[in-house]
Amino acid sequence: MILRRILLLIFSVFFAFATAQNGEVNVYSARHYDSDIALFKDFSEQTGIKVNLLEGKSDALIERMISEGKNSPADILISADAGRLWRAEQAGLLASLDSEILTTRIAAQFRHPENKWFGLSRRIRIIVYNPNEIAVGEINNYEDLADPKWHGQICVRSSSNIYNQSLLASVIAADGTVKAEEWAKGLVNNLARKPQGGDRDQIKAIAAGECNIAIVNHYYLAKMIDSSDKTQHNAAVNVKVVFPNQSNRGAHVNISGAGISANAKNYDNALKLLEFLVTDAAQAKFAAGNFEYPIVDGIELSDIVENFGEFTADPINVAIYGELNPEAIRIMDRVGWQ
Amino acid sequence: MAIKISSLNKQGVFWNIAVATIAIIVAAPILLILTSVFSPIDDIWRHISSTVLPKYISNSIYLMLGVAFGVSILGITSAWLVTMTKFPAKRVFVWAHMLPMAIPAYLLAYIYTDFLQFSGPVQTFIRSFGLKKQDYFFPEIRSIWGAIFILTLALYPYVYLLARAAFLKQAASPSQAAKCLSANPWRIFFVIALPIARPAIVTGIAIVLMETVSDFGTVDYFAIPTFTTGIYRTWFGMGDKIAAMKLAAILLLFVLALLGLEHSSRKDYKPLRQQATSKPVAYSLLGFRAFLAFMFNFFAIAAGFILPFLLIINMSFHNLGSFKSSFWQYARNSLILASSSSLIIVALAIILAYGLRIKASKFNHIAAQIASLGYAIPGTVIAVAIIMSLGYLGTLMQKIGLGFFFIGTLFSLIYAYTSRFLTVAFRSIQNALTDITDNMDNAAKTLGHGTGSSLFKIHIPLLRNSIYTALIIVFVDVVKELPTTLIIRPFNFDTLAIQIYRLASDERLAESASAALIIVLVGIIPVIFLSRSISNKS
Repeated sequence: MILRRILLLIFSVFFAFATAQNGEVNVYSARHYDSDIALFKDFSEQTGIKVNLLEGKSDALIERMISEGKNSPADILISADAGRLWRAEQAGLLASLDSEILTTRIAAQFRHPENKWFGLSRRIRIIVYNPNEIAVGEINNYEDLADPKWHGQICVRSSSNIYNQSLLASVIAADGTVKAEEWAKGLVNNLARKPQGGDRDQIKAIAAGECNIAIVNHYYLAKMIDSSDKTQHNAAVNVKVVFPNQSNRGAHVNISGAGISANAKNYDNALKLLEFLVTDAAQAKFAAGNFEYPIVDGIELSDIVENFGEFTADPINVAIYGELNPEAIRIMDRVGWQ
Repeated sequence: MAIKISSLNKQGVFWNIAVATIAIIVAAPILLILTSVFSPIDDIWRHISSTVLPKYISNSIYLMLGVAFGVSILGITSAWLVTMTKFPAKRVFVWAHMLPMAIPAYLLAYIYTDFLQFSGPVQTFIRSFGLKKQDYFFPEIRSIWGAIFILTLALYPYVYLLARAAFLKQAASPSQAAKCLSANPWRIFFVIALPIARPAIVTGIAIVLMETVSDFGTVDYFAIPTFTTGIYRTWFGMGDKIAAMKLAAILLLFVLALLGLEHSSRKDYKPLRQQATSKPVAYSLLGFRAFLAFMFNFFAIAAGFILPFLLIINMSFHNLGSFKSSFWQYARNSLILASSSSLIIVALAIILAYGLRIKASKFNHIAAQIASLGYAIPGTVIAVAIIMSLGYLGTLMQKIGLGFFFIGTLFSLIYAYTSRFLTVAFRSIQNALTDITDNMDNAAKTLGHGTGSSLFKIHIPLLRNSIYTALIIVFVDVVKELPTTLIIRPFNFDTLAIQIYRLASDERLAESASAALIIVLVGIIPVIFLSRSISNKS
């Protein structure tokens, strides 16, 4: 009796959820922004194609796609970091796309060499500092942060965070492993406190006087400036922004990006969605809704981000962050970056 | 007579198979992890063991010792006070000690950090008197001490619940006898009550420790390198699944050893030969003692629930805009998942525990032990292991032409919850079953009842309190559960915990307060409802 009920439950539940409707685009996304949901809604309204969304952590989503294999309902994988896209591609999960729109709109630096994934938006890892304690022009490069004169003045989040791992990977790519390790060691020696919290917490710590310098992603600063919470707003407007390495390789850029599953059942509609996401209108929403830099040039930025000023970005292909990620973590382990 | 014996044997075989089937299905993902112990040592493994492993081990051990100490003091003392003594407001405390369970540990960590950190309101207030960073001492919340503090507050109700059930069940007579012999209450507590309640307390601590080693949210937020953070880093940072599974497997062997200790602590334990027939003696506390008892209970609940709850209310009051109608959808999803899976999990736990009592083969004992390890595995790791098992199963079923696919169904979610939470239900029920004497079973047998009918007519009614306790714990655990739900759920299906994660991962802590408020309220409902039915009976 109970068994029959359980079986019935299993079947009803199975039919209720596992049947993927033909033509609908199924998205696995590691981005958790309301502006993304609004974008999918726009797409559905314009094309009549429904978008089904499953948000999760990128590594877990990748594992799920691997386990699901050919049966995977996923059509599109969206990640908030180039390293993870590289990993998904290495696992053979992504298809090579033939789309003129995508290849012409997105610079080669921000997509896979064989077009297996594409950047959708850019985020810059900037340095912020307390202008009451530090003069303009004293900090110009990421490398400067290892200078012993900043002893006990720097705040940064933990090394388990992917943004720090990608940053270190970019330093390895630019300066080599040995110098990158020396840099990481110098940085750790200069920390004001044990690495902790998120990027916003680092900015709050500057406001509270716990440290004078922090490394953060630019949109967190923008979101704090935009915040209705007075403490957050005040903390953010009182720091100054440095786009690092402007006289050499340029500031570290990471991307949010997407690829189409090698097992996609709705390839055509999935491609339509990706192409929609790089239209001017959609790109403007990445900029306005989430304070990111659009992947397509010439799109209007949000006022707050516009005020950060012009900058040069590191031109390296972002795929390298994925390749050098394990090396970066080893260095972090060795220098004791918690 | 011969016919009767053979039918009993048949029943034994039935229970044997039932136990083995449940245990093996539940244990599948755990076995997947355990097998990685045998994988060859690679380069990354060498890197880990030469750099960070010692730190992982020492931090994990400190954390476990600290939390075990904390929950014992809070859990046992509060259970003893509300059960065996009389003092003002005691009746409120009886159920209020369950409230901290409604707040997920990671949420407690967020809230306390926001409150106590350098840039938080408390320290800002201190500095408003003109003090600077170096002028005053304030304990750092983001430290191993902070993690012990948070986990103790979040987990002590487990020990409280099990200890209280044990104190209630104790026949009053030994204590009454001791009272007649004018032994003082302290002596009765240490010499009589505590030893009798020991197995229940040890079970509670074992559950707490399993949850402690698998905790990721708190230690990650505080950036404390423990085994769990190490597993995540190895897997997701270095992309080495094998080395990460190996770390997880080592952790599991450690937990198995711990459970072995728990098991051996039962060996010399003899169940009471009678059920409690009279209410336990209660000492009336007067004056200063009553005040102390009141304050102890009050502070535990204030720190574990009232203060964080008020902070959440305050935060959501400042973010009224973040209340959305979609929250009711999330709350409904959380409720459906939690109620259906808690019923299923407790039912399975009863079958497992009772089956082992009827016929305990060595194989089944080991299988049950392994099946109950899921609680000690960090959420995302067990989630991925479950997905891998379901993936294999799906491919297998497809090969034989069934075309049946599991991942992303509610069934797969309930299966995953079973793998994670079966332990809690199983251990509390098994623990209570040992207190029902074999005489009961024998009497039922003599009266012609089979094992099935005596389960429903005798054991389940006697187990009522423990079943309620198990239901509460599993229900609240499922409502709070994040990593498994996150990866196994269907499309367009969000729960309250997922909503909190979404906002927190974008560092929008204040906006997540409204979802947090609802998750706590949803968690409180069954706690109050079921705790009433427990105390009604007692």
